[in-house]
Amino acid sequence: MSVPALKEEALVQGTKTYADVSNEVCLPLESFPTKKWWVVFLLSLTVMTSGFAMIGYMIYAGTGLSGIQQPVGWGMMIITFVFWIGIGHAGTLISAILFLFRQKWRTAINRSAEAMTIFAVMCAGVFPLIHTGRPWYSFYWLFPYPNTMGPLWVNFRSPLLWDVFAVSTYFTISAVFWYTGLVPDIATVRDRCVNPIRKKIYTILSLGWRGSSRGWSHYEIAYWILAGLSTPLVLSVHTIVSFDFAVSIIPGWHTTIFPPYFVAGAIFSGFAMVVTLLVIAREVFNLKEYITIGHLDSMNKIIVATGMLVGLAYGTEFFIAWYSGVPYERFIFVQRALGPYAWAYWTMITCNVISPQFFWFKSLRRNIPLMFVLSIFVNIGMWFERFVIVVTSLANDYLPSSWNYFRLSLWDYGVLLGSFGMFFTLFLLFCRLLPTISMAEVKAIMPDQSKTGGHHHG
Amino acid sequence: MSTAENDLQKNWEALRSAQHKELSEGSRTLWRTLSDVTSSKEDLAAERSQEFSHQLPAEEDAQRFNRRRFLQMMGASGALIGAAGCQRRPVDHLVPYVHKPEGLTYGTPMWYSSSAANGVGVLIKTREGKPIKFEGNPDHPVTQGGLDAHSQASLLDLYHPERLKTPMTGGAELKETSWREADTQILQALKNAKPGGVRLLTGGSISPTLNSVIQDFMTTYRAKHHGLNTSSDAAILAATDRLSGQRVRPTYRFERADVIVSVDADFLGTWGSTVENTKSFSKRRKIHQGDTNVNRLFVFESWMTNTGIAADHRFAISPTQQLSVLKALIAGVQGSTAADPMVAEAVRALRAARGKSIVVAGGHGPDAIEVQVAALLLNSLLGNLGSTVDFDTPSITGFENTADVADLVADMNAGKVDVLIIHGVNPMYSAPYLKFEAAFSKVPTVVTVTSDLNETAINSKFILAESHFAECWGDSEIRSGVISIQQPVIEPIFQTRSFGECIATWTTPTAVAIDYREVVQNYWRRSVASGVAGFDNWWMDQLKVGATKRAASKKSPAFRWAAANEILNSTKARAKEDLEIVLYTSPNMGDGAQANNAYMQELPDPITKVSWTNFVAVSPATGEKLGLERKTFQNMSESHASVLSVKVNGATVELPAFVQPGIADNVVAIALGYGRTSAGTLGTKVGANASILASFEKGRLQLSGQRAEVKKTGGKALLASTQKHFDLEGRDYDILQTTTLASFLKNPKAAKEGGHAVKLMSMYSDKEFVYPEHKWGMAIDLNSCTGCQACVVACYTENNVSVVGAEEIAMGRHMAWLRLDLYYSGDPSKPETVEANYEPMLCQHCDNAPCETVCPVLATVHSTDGLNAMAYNRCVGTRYCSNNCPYKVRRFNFFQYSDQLARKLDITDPMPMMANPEVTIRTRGIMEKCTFCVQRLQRAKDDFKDRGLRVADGAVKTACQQSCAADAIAFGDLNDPKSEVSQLAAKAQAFKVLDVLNTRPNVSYLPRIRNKGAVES
Repeated sequence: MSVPALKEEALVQGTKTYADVSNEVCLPLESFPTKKWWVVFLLSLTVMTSGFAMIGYMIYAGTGLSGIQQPVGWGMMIITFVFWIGIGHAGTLISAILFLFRQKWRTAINRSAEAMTIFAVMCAGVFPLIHTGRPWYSFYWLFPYPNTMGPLWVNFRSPLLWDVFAVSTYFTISAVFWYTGLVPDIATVRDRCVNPIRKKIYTILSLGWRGSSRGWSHYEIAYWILAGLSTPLVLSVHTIVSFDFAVSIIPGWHTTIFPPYFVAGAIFSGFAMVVTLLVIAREVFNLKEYITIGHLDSMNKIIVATGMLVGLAYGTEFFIAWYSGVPYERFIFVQRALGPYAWAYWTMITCNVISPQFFWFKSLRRNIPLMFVLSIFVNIGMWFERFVIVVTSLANDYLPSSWNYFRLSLWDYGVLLGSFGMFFTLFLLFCRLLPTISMAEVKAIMPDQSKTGGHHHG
Repeated sequence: MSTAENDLQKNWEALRSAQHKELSEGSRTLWRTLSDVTSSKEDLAAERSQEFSHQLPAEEDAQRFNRRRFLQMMGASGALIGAAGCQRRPVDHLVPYVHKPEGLTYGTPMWYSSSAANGVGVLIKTREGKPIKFEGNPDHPVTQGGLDAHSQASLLDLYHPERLKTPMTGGAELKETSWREADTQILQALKNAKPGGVRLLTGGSISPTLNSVIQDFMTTYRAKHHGLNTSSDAAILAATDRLSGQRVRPTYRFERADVIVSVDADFLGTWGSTVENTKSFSKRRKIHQGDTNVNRLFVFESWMTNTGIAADHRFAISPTQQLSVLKALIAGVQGSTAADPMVAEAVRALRAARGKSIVVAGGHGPDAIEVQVAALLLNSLLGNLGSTVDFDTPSITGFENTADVADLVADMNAGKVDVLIIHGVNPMYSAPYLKFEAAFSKVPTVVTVTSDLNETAINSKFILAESHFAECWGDSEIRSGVISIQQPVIEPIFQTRSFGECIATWTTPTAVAIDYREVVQNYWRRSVASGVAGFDNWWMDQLKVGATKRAASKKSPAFRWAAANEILNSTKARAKEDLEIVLYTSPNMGDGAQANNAYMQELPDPITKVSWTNFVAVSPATGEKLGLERKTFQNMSESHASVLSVKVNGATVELPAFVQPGIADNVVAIALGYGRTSAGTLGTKVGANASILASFEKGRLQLSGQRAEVKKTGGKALLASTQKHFDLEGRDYDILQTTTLASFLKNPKAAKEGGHAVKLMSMYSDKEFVYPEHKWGMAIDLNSCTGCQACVVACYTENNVSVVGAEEIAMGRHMAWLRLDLYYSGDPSKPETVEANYEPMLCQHCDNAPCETVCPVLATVHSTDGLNAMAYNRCVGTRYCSNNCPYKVRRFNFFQYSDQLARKLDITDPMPMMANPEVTIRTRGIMEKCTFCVQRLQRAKDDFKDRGLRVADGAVKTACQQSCAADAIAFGDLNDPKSEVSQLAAKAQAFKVLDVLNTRPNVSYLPRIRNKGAVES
């Protein structure tokens, strides 16, 4: 008796051989960049360079160029730091957690998602440093190193210090995990190389990978272990970032909901950014048969799920502010929705809670232009979420005499854009220099070619 | 015995035995080191042989650039680059004293008593010969340790890079000249002047010596002395003159008054001798000292002043109503029933306090003299003359014997004036209505003695650089019989002279330079009439204590009250204008003389918190009529405000609008003292000069009550303010507790009633912290504080706090460690309901300091004596501490603010000499905040430790506390239960700001208690 079953969508479409996979994935690496790539790359590079020039001048002249003031001592820099850290969550989630849960659809997207993670964490890493008044000290005074100043130790009670550890650990583990995953593919690229210099570089990068059974066996164990190590980090990093706020006594910050709320938000924004990037990448590098509409569909499901989580968090915050009976909490939340920053608050609600609701419908989940627009909306919304949290609470805290209205300065806009420039520059370079799709893993989930003769897709 | 000692012992023994050996062997060798003796001969020989064994490289070897050499060079240059990068500031050489002055210890401050320019007794703190701080002299019988913001800020006047440094000649081109040259020419002009052709124009001189020198000068040259009095109590002299023929200003003994009624007299801010007024007024507000017979203040005023904020009952009236209010009070006191409820309560209170009340009136409103006549009459009807209104020891204004300035202008125009000597006033700027400009050209020789190149000076023939009060001898008599000698603490920094020196010099036949100290001494030798030996003792005592008393020149003016009634009856009641102008003296800017003083410009206006400009203040209702946005206490201040043009008598002034609740409707108020055109880099073109709106008719100056036409220009202008939100948002219980006297007497905790006593859950520890030695704390009495902000400027000068300028303030980046928060209550659209309260806010030095836990680098930590300390060097500037501070008292150096002034001024010398060497200058990128003047605490602890004692209560005063004329601040050791601060903190009514957060501040506040009378109305 045949059981009617839901037919699973193929993870790789078209009839492909293993050679096709290698050829198609390596194509961008082995051909001269297209005009389109150059245009986007040079634009990103320009934005990045000008952003860094502005940072340089800020370090020279003073943090005052930013819009920060009293009482809003944290502004664009911390907002954008949290934003990028959040973006960085999707990569590890896709590569580690989905790997452990054996979600095979991750294989096509994990490489670029992880790359994105690393670049996002790099972008994020710039901000805590340059937002300080004296970056020339903060880059090493925040580490507990033996010194002749007393010796003077760091303050282990400060969440900012926890941040230093959390973010640096996260970056290290993510980078190692990503690189480990890359090794077999780099070896493939090496083997295909014609140019001796290229060959030399990829030979070094591939760490002597030969593709032996022993190699594969060790490799897969290492990958499992790294996935296991990365998994708690997905939860811990943003939890600790949220402690920057939760451990303070500022109304709207001092709340226990922050860790799960921040993690959900981070995954939400991370997936949105992955969707944004993949929609472009599959178009530009002609990878539509690897990064299928089915992949995007799955990700949109996660976006709507995490979007609902974030919406729930927003609602819970309001409820608890009222339920706690603390007048300061109540005031802040009323201020958020109805006060001077209501425009930011409602931007956030529109982008984060309302816009993902379209993804309840399958046809809309598979609508490329719509998902592209919505993913950008979600990213805007998530930036504003951090804006709302950071700014509104500081601007109207305890003593009304200090209240003030915060505006971003032109420098803030420049540096914010610059971080996007940096992110896209790195991503575009990545697309040209490393295989954007994990060839080894994709080959593993393709139908067994030996059985089908390699010509017919089963 | 330690190892080192062991070794030493062994060596010593070895040495001894060797010596014995040598002596016994008879071959005594000389030894150089211990090892010579202890080591064996072989070892020694080996060592010696190696001493010069090292091969020196041959010349060509050294020049060969081998690998080793290359690496050495690389390393060295790398290290050099690193070292060059490490060097942050050039090394300046300190030059020690070659001959150390007697009694001076390097690094220990010396204190000298003196008198400030306005006669307030000061103590001047000097370090290594440089005055670095002015403090109130507690031994001064009148000002009793209080010091006003102006005198505090005048430290910068002394070191201002844009001070006049040499005498100059004016004309088409300013030229430096020498005193000798100037003296010769001025003397020539004086000698050649026709009879009556020499004139002096001054502000009020309260210096007995100067007045006697001027008298001599006038006799010598048959000169005439004119006074230009723009102060808001000027009309009192005219009024007493009208009634008695004697120009005399009584001393108002606020400390004796149970009820005070002020009609437009801002006696706590700008009217009369404000330090004296504040001192005596606040003496009767010390509820916490068990005094329940506190005074009760009724204020009738057109705009908002500190006096209005201190009032128990405040009524907004327009300037044209002043006289009718006083007439109604007179009628009420005489027995008729007052119809006006506003007046009725005041009448009731006044009648109950006969002989123990004061009525003061002020301003240059319409009928200013009649208003003063009415106030005098009222005081006389209440039997206050002789008790609270004191003519026995009158105040000295310096205008008692001066001739009218209007006569001077007339004479100048008539060509009767050959030489005009101006000092202390700037008529070209402050009195445009006198039309000096045209008259000046008719005077051949105009001599201006001034410390800055002001509007009058640049039009003068001689511009003579004046010394600062800390640089020259002098004296003052603030109240008849109360004398203070002004002693210099530094040689004149530049080629300057005091005005008295100038006049005395020109009085000598050949203009030989005068030793002004001798002049002052001679005056007092004559005046105190003791023998020479006795005088020397008197003089030294005088300099030590800083103030003394002599017999007051008692004035007993015989008032003709019939004339008073006649004057009042013949003055018709004024019709209210649609829109009336009020030009008021700004508490910060005064007459504009300190316009170039960065501290006074930076200091926010106490009421509106706007700095670096003046503005047009209107009530919310009037504002709406003029098309301004509707304002509440929540959104009073905006960084860019609509510009209004105000036209009075054909003259127009354009300034940003400020909607100020509490101002009388249909009044537009503008501060004087701004809009200088020649005040130096900082003071020029800041705001607009509103005195062009004044009118001057029949010798009477009128600054308020004229009809004004106001319209929006459509433009916007920057309005930098340090506070933008003035509403407590229902947080009274947590932030600022207030109550009435009647409720307080029933229940000392009355101010706490109605608040939520819910203790919030806290993540901070509930354990009591133990501070073994001291635990420093402060208590601030909101009932005494008048909002004068002298404490704020005192803090700036003591702690080298940076001035940041208007743009930065507009961003919300002012640097004041201590600020005066102001909160309103009432209905902003109904001026009579508006009440306001000050709350000085500074670092609360919390036991559970939220700032400390969040700093990642431990730059802010708690000290063992209960201070929240800042390690500037360690701070990297994350600003997390400031974010987490619920009091928002931390200030961040967003730029290199300590250089801000110098950059703006271009030249800096001698400004760096002003800095307090005991307080670090903060660099950019770091956080700073109130330290409870830790440098003072440390010095006091050291001093007492040397004597083997514990720091006595009251022995150490913070800069803010020292300056406070109202004695609103107590500071001391909370570990000592007997200390003043402990006792205040333990009062039932004492509260701590945001106590619910469990931050455990060490600053306690005593609530504002309004005396609304026995029955709640």
